Amino acid sequence: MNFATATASSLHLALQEGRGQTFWLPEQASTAAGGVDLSFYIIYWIMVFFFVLLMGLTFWFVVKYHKGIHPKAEHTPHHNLPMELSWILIPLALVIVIFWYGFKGYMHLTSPPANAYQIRVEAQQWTWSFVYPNGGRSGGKMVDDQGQAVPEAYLHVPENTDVVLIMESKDVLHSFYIPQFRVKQDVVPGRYTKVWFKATKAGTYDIFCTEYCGKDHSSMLNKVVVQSQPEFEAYLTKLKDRSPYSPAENGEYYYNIFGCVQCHDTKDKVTITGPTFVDAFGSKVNVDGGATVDMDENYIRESILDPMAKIHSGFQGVMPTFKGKIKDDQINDIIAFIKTLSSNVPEDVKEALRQTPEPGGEASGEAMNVDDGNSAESAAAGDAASDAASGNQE
Amino acid sequence: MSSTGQTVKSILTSPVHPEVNYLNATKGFASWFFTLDHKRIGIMYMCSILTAFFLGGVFAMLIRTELFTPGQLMFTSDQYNRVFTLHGAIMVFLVLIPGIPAALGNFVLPLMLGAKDVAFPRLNLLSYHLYVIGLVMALLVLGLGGIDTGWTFYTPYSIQTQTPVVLITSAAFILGFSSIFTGLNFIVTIHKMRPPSMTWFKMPLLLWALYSTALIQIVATPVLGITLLLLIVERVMHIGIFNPALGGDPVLFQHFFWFYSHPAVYIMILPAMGVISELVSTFSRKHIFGYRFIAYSSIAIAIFSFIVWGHHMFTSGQSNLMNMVFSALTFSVSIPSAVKMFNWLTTMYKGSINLATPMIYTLSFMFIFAIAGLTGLPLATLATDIHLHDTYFVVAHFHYTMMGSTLFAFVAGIHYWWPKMTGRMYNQKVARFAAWLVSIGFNVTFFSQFPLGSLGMPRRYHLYEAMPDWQIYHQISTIGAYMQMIGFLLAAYALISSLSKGKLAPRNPWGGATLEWETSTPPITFNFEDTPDAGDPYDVESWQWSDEEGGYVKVRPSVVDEDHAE
Repeated sequence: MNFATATASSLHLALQEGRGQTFWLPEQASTAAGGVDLSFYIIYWIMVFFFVLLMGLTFWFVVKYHKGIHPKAEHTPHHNLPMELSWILIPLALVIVIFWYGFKGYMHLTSPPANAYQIRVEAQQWTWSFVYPNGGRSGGKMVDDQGQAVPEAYLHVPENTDVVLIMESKDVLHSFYIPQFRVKQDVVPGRYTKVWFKATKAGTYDIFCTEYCGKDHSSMLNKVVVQSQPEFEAYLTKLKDRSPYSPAENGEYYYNIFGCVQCHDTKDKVTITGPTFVDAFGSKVNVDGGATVDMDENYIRESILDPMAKIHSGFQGVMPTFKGKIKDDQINDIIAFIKTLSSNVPEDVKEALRQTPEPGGEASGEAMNVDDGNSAESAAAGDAASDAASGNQE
Repeated sequence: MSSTGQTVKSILTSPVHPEVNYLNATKGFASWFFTLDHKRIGIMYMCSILTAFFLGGVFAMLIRTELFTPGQLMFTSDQYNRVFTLHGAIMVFLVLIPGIPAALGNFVLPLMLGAKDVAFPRLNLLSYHLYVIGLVMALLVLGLGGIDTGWTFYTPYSIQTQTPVVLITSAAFILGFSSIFTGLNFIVTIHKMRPPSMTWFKMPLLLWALYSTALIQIVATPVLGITLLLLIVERVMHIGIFNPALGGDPVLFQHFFWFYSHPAVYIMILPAMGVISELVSTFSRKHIFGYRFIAYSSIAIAIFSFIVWGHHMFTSGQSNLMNMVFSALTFSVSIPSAVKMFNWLTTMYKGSINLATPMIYTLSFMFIFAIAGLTGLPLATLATDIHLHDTYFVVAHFHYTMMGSTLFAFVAGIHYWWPKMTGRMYNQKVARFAAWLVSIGFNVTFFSQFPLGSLGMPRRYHLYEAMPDWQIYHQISTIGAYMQMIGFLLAAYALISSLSKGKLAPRNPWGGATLEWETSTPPITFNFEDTPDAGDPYDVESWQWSDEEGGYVKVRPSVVDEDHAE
């Protein structure tokens, strides 16, 4: 029977490890994909069977008993218990089977192996950033102003390794979704959620935000790069040893990966969601409540750590706090970057901030080397320590 | 319309077209806007709901047009978000939830009971006035630039956004009361005002459906009301309930919201199933098959609807145990839905099927509802839902359920009762063509969204430039939307032009055996001159076609058929 052959071949296709994109489903690139797709195709053929049965009969009845052909309705029984029970019990048995397969696949999806490699994910309107166990960070905008891809924005994971992402949101609900891995998990402010996978195919896949999160929801994209263990380790080392870069270059890097880029323009002096950084440093800012403050190092620092303290007039107070996430050296670099964007700052000062420090000197890039631990916990502990330190300074 | 050649004689003695009917008994704006007549309230509801439907439809067309290209076409992301939010909020709160109960139910329910009016006519009028207030508030929100939270108002974004969330949630709160009052009225009316000969199991199935719906309306709606009130309190007074920045829990909002909004799906679909149960029997000239199972399945759906809300939250971070329980419970809803499908189908067996306009919509309903129900399976299944959740697969699924099923049944019902409501027949050819256009357009629009979603396109996306492969699905979808638009406009033309040009409608143009067909066309203000005798509501053979009348006439009292009785 054709139907059975089609079912068998489609299930066979689903079971093939790592098959490419089909009409219904994207390419399989994780260990979870096979089980999910098996469930999908079992349900799919049940759907097709019942749809053809129901609509075939409907069509047949309409053709056969149309009043032009069949002018007088015939008397038939008004009910038939065995028949009615059959269409209760057969679907019931089928949905129990479906439930079971779905449940099994789900348990696989939500039970990360205990020794999985941990990466922290921070979501905020409208960027993703990723913190690796060695303290290296990636994330932010995927494409720069010139339309060039920014490779350090991507999430990198090793191939054939269990990876668990420990996710948090700085503002509203988001949801982390990689179609090729068949994983999705909401990212909820105020709690951690986890998603895990074992990527089976080297390559680059899309990451989408699937929980509506405001204006640029559809631009909250990123990519995951699956690479071999040695390549991944080389990348991690590169992320960690970014120095020596100039303070301004480091500032721009942090500006990207902390997501400042989503709301603060640095080029055309336009308002995106927040105020522009062009010519901002050294100007006077009207804040809610009627006061005027100097846009200086202290105002920038306060706005990063306590954004609601002095809200720039005419803007909504929507910026999340970065307290506990950002280190003092990183703030210093961002301040340096903002300074280089302002005509209120003397040229020679800006030039100095653009100078790359001598290798071996006290580079601000060293800030990234603060945490030498190799787990997410120690990275978090490092954050907390630096937060405490910044508290002491105040 | 089987003409026997003989003259068939009606046993009903009341005039078919009395001088004075409910439409012309009194005149003037106030005689309508402050009427206590359930039929006039039903008509006003219908006009208001169709106005809201037009508005929601305009937003739908704007969405579909914008998505024709992957980049920005007409709107910025901010504007697009407002457009899809207004589309959803208007369609859900102003069209689908009140739709069948408030417009058709109000008109038909007392007539089906052989009663003069609903139990509480003043409450009924208040319900309509609250609806109008809700509608005006929604228009006000529109005037203020709209809102951008999505119709689900998920926290904490709905607390953060600067758009008028308080106003729109107040509107939903007020509309909730409108819905509660309608439900309360129907429950009391069905309990207390059935004629002596109408036992529970001689009630038309639409009444079972409206009764089940009313149960959900009065039990679930207060939960939405209080949830929206808490949201307003949080926004205005900054008390931490749902906002984590204030110590609240955003997932709690989802629980509260879906505790209402999942049953709300059944507020939409149950009366739709009731309408279809009536129409399938009438247009097949057959007694409904499996009456008791259809009636019980309505009650079962109403009960199950309360214990499945968590299936909207499989990825929200709720525990695995909860997800497992909600997944298992969700499948329970599929059984009574399957029962109805099979029973409608068996009703058609060996019938004499009349493909008049309402039947075209009924058959499309069955086609669409089959897809809607079946595509619910991968969404109830945990492993597959994780992949499909919040993608266009879900968008397609709930449009098949809410629009393709509920709205098609609503439109079928309007075409079915239109002659009774207005006293005029509409042009069958135009209306039938419109029905085909709408049905095909609907499937073109939404079927293409299934593969789009299962390939990974998230919902509520304004731009999809990163994924150019998705464009073809969007383009097909948009073309379908324009087909539907033309179809609906054509259907509206057929109905509206019938008011001036339509033939005078007979007492019973389709041959339904429920009591509303026994009164005059249009009905007199107090519905019946004498309380009619209620027999078997599906004894369609008690009505026979008469060429002379141009409609069906009642040839004998409807009786319970002993040979084929339950």
